[in-house]
Amino acid sequence: MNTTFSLTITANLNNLTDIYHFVQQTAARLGLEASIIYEVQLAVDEAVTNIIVHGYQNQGGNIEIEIKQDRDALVIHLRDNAIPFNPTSIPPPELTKPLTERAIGGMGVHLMRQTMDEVNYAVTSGGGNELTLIKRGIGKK
Amino acid sequence: MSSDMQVVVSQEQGRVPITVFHVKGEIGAHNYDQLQSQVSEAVESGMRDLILDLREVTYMSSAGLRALHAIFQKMHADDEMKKGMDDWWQGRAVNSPHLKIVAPPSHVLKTITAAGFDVFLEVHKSLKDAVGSF
Repeated sequence: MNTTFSLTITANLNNLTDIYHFVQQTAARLGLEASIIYEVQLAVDEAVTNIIVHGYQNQGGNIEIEIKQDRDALVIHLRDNAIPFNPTSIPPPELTKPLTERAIGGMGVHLMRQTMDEVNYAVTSGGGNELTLIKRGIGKK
Repeated sequence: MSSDMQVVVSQEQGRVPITVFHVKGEIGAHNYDQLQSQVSEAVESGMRDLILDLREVTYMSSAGLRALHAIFQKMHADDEMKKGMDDWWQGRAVNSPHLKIVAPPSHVLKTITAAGFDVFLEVHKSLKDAVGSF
C-alpha cells in the first residue's frame, strides 16, 4: 500500500490529542505493532510540541503531518512555516550528569532519536521547516 | 490520548511519613505543569518524602520528564535537603533519598530510562517496596 495519510492542523498544544489519534489510527490502518505505534506517537508528539512551543512560540500557525509506508519503513514528514529551526543540531543530553546539575528540559529531540531510526531536517522551497522521521522494520500485527 | 490526568494523594508511614501521588493517565505537554504545581505546593506545605506512583500512567512524553526533573529540583532546593543531597553524591549513592517512583508500564518506563533518570531516582516494582525503601 502506498497511500499517504495527511493532516493539517493548527499549532496548539490543545490539538496534541487530535494529532495523537491521527497517528494512532493511521498506524493501525497500516497494521503496525502496538509497541511501534507508541514509539511513533511519542516521536511525533515531541516533534509537534517543539514546533508549537519553540517554532511558532505558541502564536499559532499550521503544521502539516504526512505519514506513508515505504516498503518496510514508516516515513513521517512534518512541515511548518515557523522560524527556521533544525532540531537535529541539538547535541545529545549529558545523561550521566546528576539531576541537580542538569538543565530541565531538552529531552524531546533525544526521545525522537531513541524511538526513530532516522531524524532528518530540511528547509522547504518556501523557506519553512521539514522534519522527516523514519522508522524501519515495521511489522504487521 | 485524552487530555485527562488524575492525581490522587495519600499518605503512607514507613520509617518516615511519606506522601504518595498516584498519577493516572497521560502526562504530556498540555498537562505536565499540573503535576509539577501540585507537588510544588506540597513541598511548600512541608512535604519531605514523596513517592510518585506511576503504575497507571499510560503515556509520558518529554514533558513528563520535565515534570519529574522539576519535582526533583524542587524537593532538593532548600539548604537542608541540598546538603543532604550533596552528602549523598559523595560516592555513596546517587539515588535521591526523598523521591522514589513506583514503576509505570514498561513502554512508559523506557522514556524514564532513556533520559537516564533511573540512575538518580529509585524505581520500585510495588508501592510496598517503595515505602520500605525510605
